[in-house]
Formats: sequence, C-alpha cells, structure tokens
Amino acid sequence: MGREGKNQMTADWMKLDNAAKIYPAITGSELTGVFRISVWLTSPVNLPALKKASEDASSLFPLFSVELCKGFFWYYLEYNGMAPRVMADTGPRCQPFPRTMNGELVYRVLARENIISVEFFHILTDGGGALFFLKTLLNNYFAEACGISEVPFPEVSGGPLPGSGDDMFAKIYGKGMPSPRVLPRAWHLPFQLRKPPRFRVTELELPADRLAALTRESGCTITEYLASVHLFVLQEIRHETGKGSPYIRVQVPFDLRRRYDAPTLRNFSLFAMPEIDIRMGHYTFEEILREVQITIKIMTDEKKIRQVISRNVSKEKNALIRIIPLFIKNPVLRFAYNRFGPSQFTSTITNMGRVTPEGPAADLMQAMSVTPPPPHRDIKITAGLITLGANAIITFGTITDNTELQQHYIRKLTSAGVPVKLLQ
Amino acid sequence: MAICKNCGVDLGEGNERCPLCEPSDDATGRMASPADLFRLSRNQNAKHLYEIIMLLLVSGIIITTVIDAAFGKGMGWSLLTTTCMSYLIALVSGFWFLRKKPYYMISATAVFTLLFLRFIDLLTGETEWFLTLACPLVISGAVLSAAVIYFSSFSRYRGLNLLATILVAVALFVLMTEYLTDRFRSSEFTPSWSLVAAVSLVIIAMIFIFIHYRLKRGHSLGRMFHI
Repeated sequence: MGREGKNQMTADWMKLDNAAKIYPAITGSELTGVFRISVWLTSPVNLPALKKASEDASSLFPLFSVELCKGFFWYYLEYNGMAPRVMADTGPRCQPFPRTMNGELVYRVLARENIISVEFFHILTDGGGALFFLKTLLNNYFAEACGISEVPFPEVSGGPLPGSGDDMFAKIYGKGMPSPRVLPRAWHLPFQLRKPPRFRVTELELPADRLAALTRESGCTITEYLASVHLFVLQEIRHETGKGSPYIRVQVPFDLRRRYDAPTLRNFSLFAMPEIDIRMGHYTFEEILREVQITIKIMTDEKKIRQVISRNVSKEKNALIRIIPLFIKNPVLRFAYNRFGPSQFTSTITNMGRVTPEGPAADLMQAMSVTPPPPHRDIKITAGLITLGANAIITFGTITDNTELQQHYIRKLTSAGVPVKLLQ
Repeated sequence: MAICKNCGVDLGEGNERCPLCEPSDDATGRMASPADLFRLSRNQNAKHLYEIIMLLLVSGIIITTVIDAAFGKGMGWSLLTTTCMSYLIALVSGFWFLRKKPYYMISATAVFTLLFLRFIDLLTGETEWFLTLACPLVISGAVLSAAVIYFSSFSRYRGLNLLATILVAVALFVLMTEYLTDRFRSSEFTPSWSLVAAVSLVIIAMIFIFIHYRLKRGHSLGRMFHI
C-alpha cells in the first residue's frame, strides 16, 4: 500500500510483510501476538480529548486502518478507513484481535485512570511503528486536553513519511544468499504453566540515569547490559535445575529503520541471539557481557542482516509454499513454528530505547512501559524495557506463577547498584 | 471533573456516563419505549416460528394417526405421513439447534434425509434405488453444500460471488445426478443434458464473479488470490 497521508492512498489492500505472515497461523487466545505500549500521565485521562486525538491520529495512519482478511493462498490486510476503538483498560493485557473479516482494526487505544495505552497486533507493525503512532496520539492529546500547542514529540509531527508502507524485507531480500547456520535446540525454563488465561505482567521501575551510568562504566549499551543480566539470570536458574539443553540463548530484537534510513511503519526488525554453552563452565557476568556484545555486533552487520532476511523471505518466495491453499498452509505453518520457532531461544528481552518528550507536555508524562506479546508456552517469560525521562520500566510478560527469574533479576540489578521498585 | 468509578478516566464536562464502561441502552437491550414491548428480536421471531412449525407437525402426526386408526382400523397410510412429518420435525430441529454450526447442520440434514429415504424405501418395498441412487445423491449434495459454505467464508462481501459458488455447486450436482441415473438405469454413462446445464451454469457463475469482483467492487481478484 502506498499511502502515507490522507491523500496518498494508491491501493486498498496490502500483503502481509515477511515477519507478519506467520502470525495469523500461530496466534490464538493465549499466544495473541499483541503487544502494548503505555504512558502514565500526571492526571486522569481526559476521555473526550483522547477520542478526538485518536480519530485525528488515525486519519494520518491509513496504513493502520486495515483489517485482516483471508485470501485463498495468504492472508492480507484490507483498508477499511476506520478509527481505532478507544476502550476501557480494565481487562487483561494483550488480548487477541478477532481473526478475520469482521470490520475490526488490528490495533486499539485503551484508557484507565492516568494511563493511555495502545495495543497492536504484530501483523500490522512492530514496536517502532507503534511508538510512532503513540507519539502522534500524545501530540494530539495534549493539544486537545490541555491546549498545549508545542508538541512533545516534534519528530513525528509531520505524520508518516513517504515510504511508511514499504515492505523493507522484500526490498532487502537478495537471491542466492547462503542460509545462516541452524542453531541447536536451546534450554527452556522448566516452570509450570499457569491455568488459562495465563498472561500476567510484573513491572520494575529503575532510575534511567543510574542504569545509563552503570552501562557507561561497563562500556556497553543498556540493551547489551540487560541482555547480559537476562542470560546471567537464566544461567543461575539452569544451574539450579540442572537439566536440559546446554545452550542458553536470549533473543534480542533490534530495529532496522535507522540502519537503512527507512521510514517504514511496518514490521522492520530482526533478532540477535547471544548464547552461552554451559558445558564450557560457569560464565561470569563480564564474560557474558563480552559474548553479548560480540554477538550483537556480528548480528547487526549489514551482510548478516541481509543473510537472515534473505533466508526468511526465500521461504515465503518458495513456489511450492506459495501455491498451497491457506487451509493447508495454516496447520503446516503452526506445526513448523511450534517445532522450530521457540526451540531456538530461551527467552526474549526487547529495549524500545529512550523516549524524550519536549516542552511543557513533558512534565505531564511520568513513565512509559512496553508489554511484549504473551510468550509461547516453551518460552514462558519475556521482557521489555522503555525509558521515558528519568524512569526506565522493565515489564516481564509471563505465563507461569514462578517468579524466580524476576527475583534473580532484581537481586542482580540491586547488587550492581541500581535500585529497583516493583510496580506490580 | 467527573471521573468514571470503574476505569478512572476523566469523562469531560457534562458527561455523567462513561462510554467505555457503561454500554448504551441499545446494547443492554433495555426497553426504550412501550412500543418496544411488541418488537421482537430476530432470534425471538425465529424461536416462535420454530415452535409454531413443531406444533403444526406434531398435531398433524396425531391427527393423521387417529384418523387412520379410527377409520382404517390400524396403521396404514398414516405411516407414510407420519414418516414425512417426522422427517420434517428432524430437519427443522436440526436447522434450529445447529444454526450456528453450518457443517454440523449439513451433516445432520444428510443423515436425516438418508434415514427418511431408507424408511420410505422399506415402506414401499423397493430397496434397489437407495444404495445406488439416493445415498450417493444425498452425500454429494451435502458435500457440495459444505463446499459452498467453506468457499463463501473467504468472502467478506457476500453477493453475486455467493450466487456464483452455488451455481458451480449446482453444476457439479447435475453432472452427478445424470451420472448416477445413467448408472442406475443402464450401467453406462453418456453425458447429455447435464453437461449442457453444467456448462451454462459455470458460464453464468463466471459472469457473476466478474461483476462482483471487477465491476461492482472495482477491485482486482489479486487480493484474494495473491500468491
């Protein structure tokens, strides 16, 4: 779809991008593929202003005014011109979107007390696209609710740029690239699953400046540091349980927009998979950090990125896969994902980065949080981090009652000198 | 400042009800005026229709059985009417109770029809046509009906495209009918009338598809069949 603004609509449907193609086949009531970004305000949400802001923002994002439809060979997204529903945020997070053809969008705006949230189905966009929308929504909201003309996020005030609907995976794909090596099966947390509905969250608040100072001392980025903490904590639990695969691997998503200077608002991120092999002995935190830095550096190399994208897209371009009708393709994709997808890694941690609002509206926002999609039953716990001003919030999304990982995490961070406040 | 007691948002000036938490009168089904007392929902209407049909059919069975018993001194012709009306009761009940599960409804209809035809077969004493003609025709009808429902589930806008799917299914059914009747009568299949009918139906179906996707909606078929 080639429309970025109100008047640039050139087609009224679009193919799912490469990262999105798997979601309709694998998602259900528990594995929803829905993630959330929330912002805490200093005062209760003004509902009429939020509704108006939401309508105004959605008119700038026709790319998001689409619903999921079922084709004969693939699902696709069809433009329906609707604004997102503003809903009361009183139920569980990241609930699934109805599957197809019901006139519903695949994202929603939610409000509760002083919290505004947006939830997106991953078939539409990733965290980068969702954050772009939320910033636009907040620009409009503060103008409506408080009459503030100076927008807090001027970088998005022009709306989506030309090229926001581009499927960048298809553009970067190169034919004939060798496939990356197949990773051996990773160790999985042995915790028992909670009874449905399983998904719950734990949120930790950290002082962003203290965290930044700590990472500066360690000569790494916040993403690298927290991924290392994640691996370190998983190693502790692996030693305690003493069973399973020796490979502990953490999936660390990274945004590709800046690297390719791409304004796309569709999915455009990949994963680095730092790992430790516990047969090599116990790793110190410093050793893990070095391992993580090296892996992230290698995985974010342009050739490596092209290689991974080409491997992913080539599967989609396979003639046999393309001509198989959807009713056969869906169970096959589901089986393949359950068999090979979560087996690659132990857990996930994503860092959405630092959000820096400007002007008077900056004082009206307290914090932000990102809730990753409910994890697969093998993965059990995932984590997401976002920083707004002085507050960084880590959200653990979990489908188990066991809180060992979170406890280890808090201990590790506090012992490193970062005070942690448990929000929920 | 009015704050919603449930979700805690500021409702804005002059608003007492939270539109996010409190559904409107329409959504709760509350009566808006006395006239609404006589407005039945679609579901209530359907339920009343089902009850009336059941009442008529059960009455019919009782009346015909009593008349036959009184004047015919036993169960004669009333067996046929009772069988037919029992079949209708089963059919209508299947439609009513399985209305939200179309595949089950089709399966139940096929089973009821097969049982009905078998019973008629036994009552009339002619048993040859059931296995060779009635049974395959009923099964092919059920399979084609299920196929129509399956393919129509792909379409968000159902109109001429649904009609086209039905026509294609009918085309296959007429071919099947001639094949089975030919085999039943002479054991040799020579397609004649069914072929003409099927080709005509398929051509009409293609025109409907073209009108629906290309002209009426102004879209290409690409979205549905992109590979």
